[in-house]
Amino acid sequence: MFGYVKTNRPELLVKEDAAYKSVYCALCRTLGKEYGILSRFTLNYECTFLALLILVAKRQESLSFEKKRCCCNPLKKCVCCKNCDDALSYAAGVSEILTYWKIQDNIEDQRFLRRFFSKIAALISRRKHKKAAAKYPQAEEAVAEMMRRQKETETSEEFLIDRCADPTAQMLRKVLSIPFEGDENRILEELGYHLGRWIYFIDAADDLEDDLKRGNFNPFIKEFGLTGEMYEEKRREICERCNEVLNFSIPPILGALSLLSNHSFYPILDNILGKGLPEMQRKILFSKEEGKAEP
Amino acid sequence: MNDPYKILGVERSATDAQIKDAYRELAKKYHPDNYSGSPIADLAGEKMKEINEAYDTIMKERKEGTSGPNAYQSAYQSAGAYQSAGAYQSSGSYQKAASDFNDVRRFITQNRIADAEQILNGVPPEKRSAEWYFLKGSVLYRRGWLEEAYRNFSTASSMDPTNMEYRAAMNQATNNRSGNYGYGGYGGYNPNMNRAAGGCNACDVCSSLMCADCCCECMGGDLIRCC
Repeated sequence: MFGYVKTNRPELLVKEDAAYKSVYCALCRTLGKEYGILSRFTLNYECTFLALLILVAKRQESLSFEKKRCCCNPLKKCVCCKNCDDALSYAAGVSEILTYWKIQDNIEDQRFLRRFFSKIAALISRRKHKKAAAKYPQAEEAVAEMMRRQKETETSEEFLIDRCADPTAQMLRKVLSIPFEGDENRILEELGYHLGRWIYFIDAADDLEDDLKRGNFNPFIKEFGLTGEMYEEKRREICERCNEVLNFSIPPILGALSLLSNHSFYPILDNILGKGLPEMQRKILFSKEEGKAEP
Repeated sequence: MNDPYKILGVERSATDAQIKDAYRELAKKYHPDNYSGSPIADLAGEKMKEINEAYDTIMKERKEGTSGPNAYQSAYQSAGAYQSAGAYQSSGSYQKAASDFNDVRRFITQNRIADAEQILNGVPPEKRSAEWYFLKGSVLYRRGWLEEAYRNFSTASSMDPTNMEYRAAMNQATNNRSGNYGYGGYGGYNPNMNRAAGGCNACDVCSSLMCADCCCECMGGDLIRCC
């Protein structure tokens, strides 16, 4: 469920791209500082987005930048964003919590060698997770609840695609809105809910063919009543229907976003949500097919 | 009060036309249609009000100061198209006279979704009218259960195809799903509209070079020595 909320780089201004990178690098440093060097591997686009979103919603403007040596590539110097510790700590904590739970989930789903690796990862992430959970108990509670509810919805008797997406959506709704009160809280609840829903569905769309082969649970398989092999015509039709479901989430996301504004990072968020998400839909649903169509 | 120029995001030295453009842009962004059925529609309404006030203040200032009254009048009147927001609100706030579900409509406007849903669920299946399906859809939409909401809207508009309210909800949902969301020209992905038209990837570059090389070779020359 990581790696879907990205910028659409060709559409980004150079200065915006630099600002985005500076937050990305600063988040990586924060992870290293607070949770140890291995946790830098949990760095992801979603949590960078979270850090940016918090900065924008808090209207935290007086940011400064500094050059620091990159830990992964000591020859390179990176520009890091300074004086935004609260937002970065929160994003780093959420990253640890999400990673821990994802590993736990993998252990249940995987087999043999992969499962063994996941178990090792679980050992490493346990202590970091404990620390993050103690620091941000509400976020921990939100993610833990999602995990509890997810299994229930998949096995529930009356299948509704909205119900399947609800746990993830509720989780992100809480995670995004915890640091806020009043109007901002309401705006981020709305944004979080629909973004969580979108993430759940894009993840399901991405796994669709694998799940179909292996016979795993997938909301789209159940919704469209798919079985076995899919032919080209059918595939295209299914992709278009998945795309409609995903498109439907975008207007509420953008509507909520535009109620937060007047910040120098705002255009980056606008790029991620307004152009990055549709681009991701194109990549996942329609570009695999393009690759195949060419002889 | 905040600086009206800041609210519209323009410089103090901006011309009347620039201010009008900025105002239109913002009015399009916060237009109530973009927030119909959303639980944060009230916040968008406040923003719209703020923008309208800022625009009025600036235009009033300019009218009293330098520019003549005519310049103000015409700019305001044409931009005033967006003021129809008020007209929308009367339909959006569900205050129609002939309704079987006045309580439900009131709860929905007050954001009391659980109460509205309770009443709706109390209606036995054989008594569910088109309006019931429409309101059920509205409740689900607010809760974020968009697919179910869409199903209910389409049931409502097929049961009563002449009703404008249901049809508007249905049209908007269909538009959003096909990736044609109102503002800014983006809002979802439309697979039937090729956005990457005119694009050129690494493969295209290589194959073009190979073609060029072949052409040159036909004519006795050579573009790429090694092949």
